[in-house]
This record gives sequence, structure tokens and C-alpha cells, in this order.
Amino acid sequence: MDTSVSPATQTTDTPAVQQAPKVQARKVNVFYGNKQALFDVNLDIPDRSVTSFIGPSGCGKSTFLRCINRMNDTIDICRVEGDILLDGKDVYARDVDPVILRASVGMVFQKPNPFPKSIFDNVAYGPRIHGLASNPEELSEIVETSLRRAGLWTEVADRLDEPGTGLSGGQQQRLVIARAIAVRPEVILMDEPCSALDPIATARIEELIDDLRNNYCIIMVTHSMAQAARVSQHTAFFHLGKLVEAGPTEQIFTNPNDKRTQDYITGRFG
Amino acid sequence: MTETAKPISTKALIAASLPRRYRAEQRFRLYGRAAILLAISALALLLFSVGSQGFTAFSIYRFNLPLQLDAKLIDPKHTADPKVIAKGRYRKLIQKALSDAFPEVRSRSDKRALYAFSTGLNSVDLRNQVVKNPSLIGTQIRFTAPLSDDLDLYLKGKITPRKFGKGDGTLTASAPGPKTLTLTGQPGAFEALIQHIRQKRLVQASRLETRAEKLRERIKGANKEVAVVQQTEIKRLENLAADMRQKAKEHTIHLDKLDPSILIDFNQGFIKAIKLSDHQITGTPLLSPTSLEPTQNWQSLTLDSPERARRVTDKQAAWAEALLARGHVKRSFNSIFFTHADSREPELAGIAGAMVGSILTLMATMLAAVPIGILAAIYLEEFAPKNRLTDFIEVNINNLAAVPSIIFGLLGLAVFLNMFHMPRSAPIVGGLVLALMTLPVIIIASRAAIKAVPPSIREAALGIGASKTQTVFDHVLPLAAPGILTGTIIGLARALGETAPLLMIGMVAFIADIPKSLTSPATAMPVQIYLWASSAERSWESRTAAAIIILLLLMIILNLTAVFLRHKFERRW
Ligand SMILES: Nc1ncnc2c1ncn2[C@@H]1O[C@H](COP(=O)(O)OP(=O)(O)OP(=O)(O)O)[C@@H](O)[C@H]1O
Ligand SMILES: [Mg+2]
Repeated sequence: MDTSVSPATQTTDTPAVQQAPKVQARKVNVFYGNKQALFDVNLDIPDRSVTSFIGPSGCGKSTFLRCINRMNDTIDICRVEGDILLDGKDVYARDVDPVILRASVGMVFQKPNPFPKSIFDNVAYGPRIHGLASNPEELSEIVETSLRRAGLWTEVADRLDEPGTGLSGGQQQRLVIARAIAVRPEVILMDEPCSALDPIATARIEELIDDLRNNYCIIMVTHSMAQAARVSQHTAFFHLGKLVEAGPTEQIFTNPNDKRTQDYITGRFG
Repeated sequence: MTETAKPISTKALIAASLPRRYRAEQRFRLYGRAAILLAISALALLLFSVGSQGFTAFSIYRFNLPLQLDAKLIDPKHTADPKVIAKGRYRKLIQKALSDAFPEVRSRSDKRALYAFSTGLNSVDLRNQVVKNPSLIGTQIRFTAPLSDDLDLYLKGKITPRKFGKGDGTLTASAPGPKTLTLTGQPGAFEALIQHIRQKRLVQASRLETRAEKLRERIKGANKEVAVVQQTEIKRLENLAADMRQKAKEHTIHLDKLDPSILIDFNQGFIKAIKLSDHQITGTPLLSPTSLEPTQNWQSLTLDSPERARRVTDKQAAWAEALLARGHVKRSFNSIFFTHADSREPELAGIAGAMVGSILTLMATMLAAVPIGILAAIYLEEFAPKNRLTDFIEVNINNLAAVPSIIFGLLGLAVFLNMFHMPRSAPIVGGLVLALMTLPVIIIASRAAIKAVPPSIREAALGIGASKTQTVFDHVLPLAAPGILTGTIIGLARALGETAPLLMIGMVAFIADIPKSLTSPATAMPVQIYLWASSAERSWESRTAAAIIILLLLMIILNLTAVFLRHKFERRW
């Protein structure tokens, strides 16, 4: 293994760390055209816990997140170097199909983006295209469990055929999470999932993330220190395209190794 | 400016500039309204002029006469052979029917004028009736056919205004000679007619004077020889004018060839006035009255343009009026116009052939351009790598959209006709040429619509593992559909109105049959309009306008469909 920072594996309080890391990044460099956005990022992310990425705007958090499910493939000028391992397997290897990868690495975006279809179809779309349900009953079951898990079921159970775009922002974001978990992913990537939401909706989502942590590996970008502290077990701090420091949230917030981390957390820049 | 004044001055500055800003806004609104008003009035003018012209073509005068299907003229040897029957002298039969309506018409020239009421082609219709049902031979039928276009136009008042004047008092008749009739009414019975003629003569005189005046102006700078020639012309015009003015003073009017025609409808006959006084008219009967009994039931008919200057003679006018009065000529819906293809005779010409041609052509265009255009747009927008080559293609697609349509016609001529030897004048070729023309429009519109779909939708689909194709077809296309449809329909509407490229591939020919397939010779509506508009006869005018109305209606329907589809498929995200 690389000798660089892989703090997630060093701590011992959470049970998750006993397992092998779910996602590992090795010397990841990302370029947009000639411009380098990430420099030599090495990071291990444990399973069944929440890992937050924090850092000032433009430091490459989203870029790194999008490398994990190869969303960057859709940007023509984006080039990724280094390895990103999911369960020890390189996601950029030739034989990895991004479609399969994305089915197991779900993503939730900053702005809720439900399809302009019914609530049911929003959740059912993934299982449908992947053939996860063999009959309509099974499909409804998947939709129901996903919506229940996302904590939305009670609110929408009686209006599944209404458009998903008609829900409130917080509901939409939960719908999108339900849509992501409907394809039974192992990892869920969330890029500032609460930044467009009010405090109450944010609290709901945070609760939900806390629930989901027991079954999934959740990686979340956030600009709220408080949120990172509340929700995540591990935190990684990015600055100017470099991973400055990563470790258990408690440690990062109470006793950071790096001056820059300290400054950022205490609000001296960012 | 001092430091302290600054905060106050900002507010003051804004306040000072406000009236100017509001004025600018008001001015802008005014310009906008003026522009819209101008556009609307231009549209209204177009619709009014086309509408009022074309409206008359939607109805037609038909004659309906008893017609004796004389076996001697159809099948003299009673063979009952369809081939013989088909060769019968149907034109003669129709002519006889017309003669029977006016037995007094004897002279050759009069007969020819009467026979002009029916077009030669009507005999084809009669033949078809008889061939279909040979048992009719020897019986009397009622034959209905469109009145020939000149008479139709006359009755519609398009050749000369038909001004009727209700008769005042009793009119008595006497026949001083074999070809003259004198009609006497109460004093002042014809005063209005006399005034009308006088006024017409004065107008005529002043018109001649203006012409002379204009000539005089023109020769001022001209050389001598020209001046001499023109001088005599001026003299002539002035003499004529003076003559006219003199004649306008006549107590008893002697009508001559420059005057309007005055016909008196008297006991089912028509008498053309020659001499006109306050209470007495001397004239020649164009159609003899049934009796010379005095009657109160008479009327005058004034035809303002002189007989020489129009295509319908006074006699023909009298016969047409008589047929109308007898109920043998009726105005009815012009179904011919909607069911027939083009014809040499305006009264038998219809828009149906061109309409079917246009629809077939548009179908070919649609089948070729829509799938290719939309798929090309999807490929370019979603799948194609962005590099020099695709940039080059993009630039050229934009260029193609600006290429004059006639160039596409030439291309079609060179490629489809000369290289692939496809049939001339065929809707399939027209459709392909128009497809070439519409393709860039569809591609550009579709690309714009696809580009307008927010990327978040694509990310959402890709994020749960949809493949590129699934993303495009499940999410991007449905959202882009309204825009794509609108662009496509607008492109097709443009193709529907296109003439130039069709001229190049021979769709401009005279086609008297409604096209049956994509390969049968056809023409399209705009081409038909072009053809009719360049025909000389007056009756084509209203038909041209009517065809324009129908083309505009089709366009409006297409565009409304575009609006409707856009509303139907429009979703918010
Ligand atoms: N599609 C792109 N094309 C070119 N450069 C990009 C693109 N996306 C991101 N970048 C650049 O990469 C760098 C990292 O961007 P990224 O979006 O990862 O930042 P971030 O940490 O997520 O910021 P924020 O907190 O504001 O979301 C930035 O400098 C940005 O300008
Ligand atoms: Mg970001």
C-alpha cells in the first residue's frame, strides 16, 4: 500500500474501519484540458459510514467525487490519471463498464433533479432499465421500499402518479435519494445535497443520511462544517486541488494536523 | 463634487435621470406598438385582398337545361356498343339544348355566341354519363354543367357591374319596324338613365382632357419631329373630348359604342336602348319579349363598360340574365374547384390535383427529412466528439440553411433526375429536393431544442446507470420533443410553400389528373398558384386567390398543429 495519507484506516473507534476500505484513490490527478484540478490525491474511504469532503470553493471536491462514478467521462476535456479502486478493483480499468459502475455507485446532486415524470416512474426508472424487477408487483415493491428508506413514502404514497417535479425542494431531494437507492448501489455520492434546502428539510436529509449509513458507503460534499461534524464519521479536507488532510471527523475538527485545515475549520479562510 | 455631497447626489442623479429613462421606455413601447400595428395591417390587407378575390371562386354558376339524348347523334344504328356510344356527338347535343332554350337564335354568329355558354369539355362529362348508363339514350335528361368562365364572371359582376334599376310606372311597347321596338313610359321614367349616361360622358371627356394635358407636358422638351406627331394626337384627343362634352348636353341621347349599354327587361325579353329620351326608348330586341302587353314589371340593366371593351356581348348578357330569371342558371358551391385537377378551362379547373400533389410531396419530404434530421441532430449534439470535423460540419449545416432554394432544385435535377433517372414531375423527387432544403432547418431546430434540455436531467439519468442511448431517448428527447416538433413543422411549412426547387424538377407542368402515387406526375399548390397567376384570362384571378387562401389555410393548420403540440408536450423541469 501507498505510504501517503490514508487516515481513514488508522483510526479504530468505528466498526467500519476493521474492513477493507470501500473506495481507494491512488495518485489521482485530474485535468480539465490543460488545467489541473486535482493533484496526487490518495484517499481511503471506509464502507458503511459517512465521509465528508470539505474545502473552499473550487478546490476539487466535486471533481474528485465525480471521478468515483466516472461522471467525469461525460466532460470531453476532463482527463483522469491514477487509480480509483472500488472494492480493490480499478473503476477506470478497461473492462469496467461505466453503466454497471454507476448502478453500484449512485449519485445525488446539489440541485434536486427529478425527471419530469411521475414520482413512481422517477424511482422505477433505474430498476426498470437494469431489469431489477421481473414483474410489476416487484417493481412497486422496490419503489415502495426505496421511498420508505428515503423517508418519503408517507408523504407521497397516495400520489405516486403525480409529477416528481411538483414536490417541494426537500421532498424532491429525498425522491432523488430514493431513486438512487432503488438500483441498490453500494456507494452513494452526494454533492452538497442540502445546499438548496431550508434547515428543516436539511435536518430530514441529515437524518436520512444517518439511517442510510448502516447499509451504504456514503460520500458527501458539504460546505457546512456543522453538517460535516454532525453527519460524518470521516472527513477529508481539500485545498487548491490537493488533499490536505483526512481522518475521523472528530480528530479533524478538534485536532487537525495541518495549519490550513485548522484555519479553514475555524473560518479563517474559505 | 465634495465628499459629503456624494450620498445625496447619487439619489438626485438617479431622480434626474428617471424622466429620461421613462421617456425612453415609453418611446420604445410606442415603436413596438407601431411595428405590430403595421404588421397587422399588412396582414389584414393581404387577407382582405386575397380573400375578397378568392371568395368568388368558391361558388360557380351552373346551367341546368333539359337535354334530349337523341339516339341519332349518339348511336344511330342502335348497336349499343360502348365504343360507338363513346364516340357520340355530345357537344352537338349540348348545343341543341342551348338552342332549344332560345329558339329565336338563328344566325351563325349568334349561335356561336350562345354555344360559348358551355365549354367543350362539358361534352366529356355528358359522354361519361351516357356511357355509364346507356339506357338514357333516347330520353330527356336535365344536364347540369358549369357555365363557361366568361359568363360566370359576368354574372358575378366581374366583367362589368350589373346595375339594375327598378322600373317606374307602366311601360307600353310598339314595333315601328321589324328590328326596332319603342318603349314608352311615364314622363321622367328614364331620367335617371339619361343622367347616368351624361355623367359617364363627362367623366370620359375629362379623362381624354387629362391625357391630352399629359402629352402636352411631355412634348415640351422633346424634339420637333416628335412634337409634330404628338401635336396631332393631342388635337385628336381634345376634339374627342369636346365632342363628348357636346354629346353630354344632348337632349335625346343617342347611345354609341363608347357609352354604357342599357338593357330594358320587358316581358321576359331584353331590349337594348339606342335612343333615349325622358320617357321613351327606341332600341333593338336582343331577346324578344313574349308579348308586347303593357307592364309595370320592367327594369333596366346598365352595363357600364361599353360592349366593345368586354368579353361578354350584350346579347350573351341578355341570354344569361334570361337563363338566370328562368332558373336555368344557378349559383352554387364550386365543388369542382375542390375535386378537380388543373384544366385548360377555368370553370373546370380545381385545386385538388395540386393539393394531393403537395400532400404527397410533403409526405416524401417528411419521411426523408424528419428521421434523418432528428437523428443527425441527436448524434451531433449527444454523441459526436467535439473536434474540427464536427465544427466544420456544424458550420456547413448552418450554411446549407441559408442556400437559396432554387439551388436545391438544381441539385435535385442533377442528382435525382439526371444521375438516378427518377421520373420527372414526381412528388417523390419533389419531396426529396424539399427534404434536402428542410434538413438543415430541422437539424438546427432539433439541436437547439436538445441543447436546451438542462444537463441536470442527463446527469440524473447517467447517475443511476442509464446508458447514453437510454438517457437520450428516455429523457432528453421527450423534453426536447416540443422544440423539435415546432422546428420540424415550421421547416415543413416552409417546404409546403416552396416553388423554386419544384420548377427545376418539372413539377411545373400542366397536370390534368389528380396524382395517384409518389411517382405519378404532379404539381404542388404554390406552383399551381404560380401557373394560374401567369394565365391571362380573368377567371384565373379569382382561382389563383382561392388557391392562395387554401394554401394559407394549410399553413395555418400546420402552424397551429405546431403550437398545439408544443403546448401538449411542454413540461416544466
Ligand atoms: N467542466 C469543467 N470544465 C473546466 N474546468 C472545470 C470544470 N469543472 C470544474 N472545473 C474546474 O476544476 C476545479 C475544481 O472544480 P470543482 O467543481 O471540483 O470544485 P468544488 O470543490 O466542487 O467547488 P464548489 O465547492 O464551489 O462546488 C475548479 O477550478 C473549476 O474551475
Ligand atoms: Mg462542487
